[in-house]
Amino acid sequence: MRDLVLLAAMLLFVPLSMTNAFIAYLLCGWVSVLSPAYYLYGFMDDVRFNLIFAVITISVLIVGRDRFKNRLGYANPTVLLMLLFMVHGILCALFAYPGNPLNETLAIQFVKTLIYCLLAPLLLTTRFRLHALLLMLALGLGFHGVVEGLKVIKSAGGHRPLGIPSSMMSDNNQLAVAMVMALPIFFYLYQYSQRKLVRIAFLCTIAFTVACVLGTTSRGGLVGLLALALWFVVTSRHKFAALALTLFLGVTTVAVAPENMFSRVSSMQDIESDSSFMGRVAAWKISSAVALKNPALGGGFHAIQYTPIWDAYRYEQGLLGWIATPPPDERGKAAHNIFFEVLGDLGFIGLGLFGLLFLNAFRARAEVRRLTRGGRWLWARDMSDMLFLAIFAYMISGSAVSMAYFEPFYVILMAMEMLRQWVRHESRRMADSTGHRGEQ
Amino acid sequence: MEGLFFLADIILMLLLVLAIFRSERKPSSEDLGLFAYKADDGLERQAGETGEASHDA
Repeated sequence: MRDLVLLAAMLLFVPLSMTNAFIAYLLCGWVSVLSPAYYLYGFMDDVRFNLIFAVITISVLIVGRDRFKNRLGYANPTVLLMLLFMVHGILCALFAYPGNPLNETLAIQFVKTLIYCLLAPLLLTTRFRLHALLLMLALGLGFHGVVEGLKVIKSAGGHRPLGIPSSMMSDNNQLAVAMVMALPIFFYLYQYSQRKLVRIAFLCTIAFTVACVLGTTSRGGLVGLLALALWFVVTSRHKFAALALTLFLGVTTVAVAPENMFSRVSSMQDIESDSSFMGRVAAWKISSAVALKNPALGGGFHAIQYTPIWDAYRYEQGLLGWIATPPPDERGKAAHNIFFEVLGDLGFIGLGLFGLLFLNAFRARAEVRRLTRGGRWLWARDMSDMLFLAIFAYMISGSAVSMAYFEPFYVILMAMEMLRQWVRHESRRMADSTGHRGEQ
Repeated sequence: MEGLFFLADIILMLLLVLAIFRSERKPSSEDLGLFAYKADDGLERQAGETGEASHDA
């Protein structure tokens, strides 16, 4: 049945996307985060939806006409950093340790993700389109949050969301990070949607997504939620109301949620005796040891997950020799931290570029806030705040998870850049028109 | 339940795509239909703002 529904939808989506590159671009992103293959059981589960829409996007961009194309220009710092990051990633994959089966698969995925983002400056040129992009992310990520959150609530905490196997949210921790990262986007859409029904829907999506994060019992997810709550209280105009609301939600959750939901989280109090956490520190040691041995190009994508490479560095201390850890497992493990993941995979140059991407996004947000001072384009200021918060949540929650190449993160970085370009463009236009009026 | 939400998500995406298709065919139209956003009311909202914060609790 689901296959027939999606087939019928595709019969509408494909012709519509052929008329407008932006529609094809959004559909490509939506199928990528929704991962429909996981929810289909019939003849449609082998269809490569994102390939179809990617080809249509590029074809329409080449042959078609986009009325907003190149309005904001193409050259910007995020494009440059992503291009460098992509070229560096390709070099790392080419000179990686041989035999690692994950290297090629992830390198291809990484290049596809960055190409998708590098097309954005051609298309994300208006507020209308930036808003539509956030809606696309919300419809893709929100679906998982709502469905899994409802299952958690219905089972009174018994259901544990284990991730979406066919996606980059393939375990509970990755799903939790993705959901925490999506919450600020839902909040922006709640704030700025005109229709009351849609606003209520986004409020419900926030509640179910929080339930989903709690249901995953991911410690990284919970830390991300707490960081978001703290930011929300600190920056709110109505601090007491925000604090009261956050406390009420927190206390209600703790009171209603079953004990097993917090049993893993409570083990954070005694980190040194937490074997799961110390296993992660051991993986960080091995990642940094790989980078010290290959400082420029690292070991290749997910090198330490390949047991022969893990084994070769098993007893190396890397940059964290000052932390005592139990002997590492015999089998290769994930890096369990986005920064150590990039360090081990792509070396110090890769980590530098990855860090610059964050830094550039924070600078973009500061510039948007500066240019929107005085009350104009408050939506842009709020959007930059929420995009920043999504990046911040990813940074915090990602410190315990391997998902450095998660597509929505790069899409959000590019959205932040295009928001900055839009605000710059409009500021210049406004200054020019004021200047002309002054001359007259 | 999952199937119903899957169907709903597809329908919502279809509504979004149709709204973009309709709106971008008309010059200077920015109507996302069901997903329409609020106009920029920055100046009015700024009047009640204390400085740093910009969102409602």
